Amino acid sequence: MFSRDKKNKVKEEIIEQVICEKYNSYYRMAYSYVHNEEDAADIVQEGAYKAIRYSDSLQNEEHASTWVYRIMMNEVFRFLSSRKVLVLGEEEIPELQSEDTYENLDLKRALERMDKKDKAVIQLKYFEDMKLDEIAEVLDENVNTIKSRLYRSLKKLRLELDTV
Amino acid sequence: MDNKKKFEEYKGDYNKIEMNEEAYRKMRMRMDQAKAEKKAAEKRNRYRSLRGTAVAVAAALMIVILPNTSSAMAQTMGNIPVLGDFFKLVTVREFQHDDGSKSADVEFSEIASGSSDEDGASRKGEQSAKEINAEMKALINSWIDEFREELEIEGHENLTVRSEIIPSTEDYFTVKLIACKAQGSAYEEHHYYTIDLRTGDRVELSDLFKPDTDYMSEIVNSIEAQMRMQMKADEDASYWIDDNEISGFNMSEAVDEAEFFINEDGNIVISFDECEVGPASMGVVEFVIEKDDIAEILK
Repeated sequence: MFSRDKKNKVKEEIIEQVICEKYNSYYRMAYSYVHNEEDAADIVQEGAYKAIRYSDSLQNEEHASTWVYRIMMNEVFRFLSSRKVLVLGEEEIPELQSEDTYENLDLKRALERMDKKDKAVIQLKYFEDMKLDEIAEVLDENVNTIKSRLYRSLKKLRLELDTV
Repeated sequence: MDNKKKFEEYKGDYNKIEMNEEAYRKMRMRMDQAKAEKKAAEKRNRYRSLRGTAVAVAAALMIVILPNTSSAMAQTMGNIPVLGDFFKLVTVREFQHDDGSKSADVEFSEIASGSSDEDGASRKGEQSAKEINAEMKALINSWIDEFREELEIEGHENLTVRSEIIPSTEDYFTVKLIACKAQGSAYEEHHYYTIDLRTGDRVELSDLFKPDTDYMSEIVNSIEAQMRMQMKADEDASYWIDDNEISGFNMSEAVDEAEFFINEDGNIVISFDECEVGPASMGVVEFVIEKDDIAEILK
């Protein structure tokens, strides 16, 4: 009984460490979907709460990092489905600050219109440098599904990037 | 500019996004809250498993003792429990639900009584059991209704309902009904139902005392003294007595609404649900009123 308690304590500590290292990465991911600081912060705070509160249910400590990410992605998707967005029109795209980003508008818009999971695959792969099997864990899908999401998205974005 | 270059720039912008200090601080606070709630839930679970062992031991003892008590002999001796092995607790139905984020694990239990003869105590006992069964069923159904309403709302939720016979003296049969509701934070409530095995009647707190005695003041005084002692000995202990910020708190009313049972030593135990006499962090709290302290007013 006590050794189990100890193990659970270790899990809690590992998860706490993961969150403290990666919180900005979760925040960026959330922000890229919700486009406002307050909602993105709410998502990360709620995800961090749940990850710690239910840390006992982490099966394998080596997967702590993808496990927390999965909780965060679920929070993002939950938020999107609860939010009453009629149509994602032009006004939802945030103010662009510089000329450089203005140039990116088409690509940005294309990303916006992508399926939410396709977008997650692209961002996890190229911005977070995650491997495909890790992405599969985060999104709770098999690796082949992730691969086809990736190829399809790159084609849509007319991007030629390394997919290995 | 080709798309690959645009993508690299988008990546650069993406990586510049950072959480502000205030949001970070809030996140740490939520994490601390999660830790505290987890700790409190673990403490309660440990306590419950210990109680479970005590019940199992008591049940094992009962089996040994019962064959020696012939009910014919007991009846001639008058004030001895004639309904000694009359009641059992049986699980009649279950309600299960699990969809990943919401789960319910509910047992409907009933007090089953032996066949009643012309003897008054057993007829009364059967009646009392029926009443208690109806009350438990209504309560459990109301918890399930609450749970079903919450299904529409996002988030984690859990409902667990159990019941057990708790060890008392040979004069009483007591069933304890426990509900654990977790929804963000965990909440537990306990209900006790007691039947007097000498008469078959249900037992209310007032039944234990001589008529026209001020038993309430005695109980309130005892509990308040115990609370003060605990708070002095343990800085984590906290109750709402002597706390001016909690206006309108009235211990007699709290005792009136509280549940009680009689433990194996024949002492009255008053059980308060969470938040009735102290902050939620105290959980369910129990106070034993020593029978020797109130011997004069006890029946």
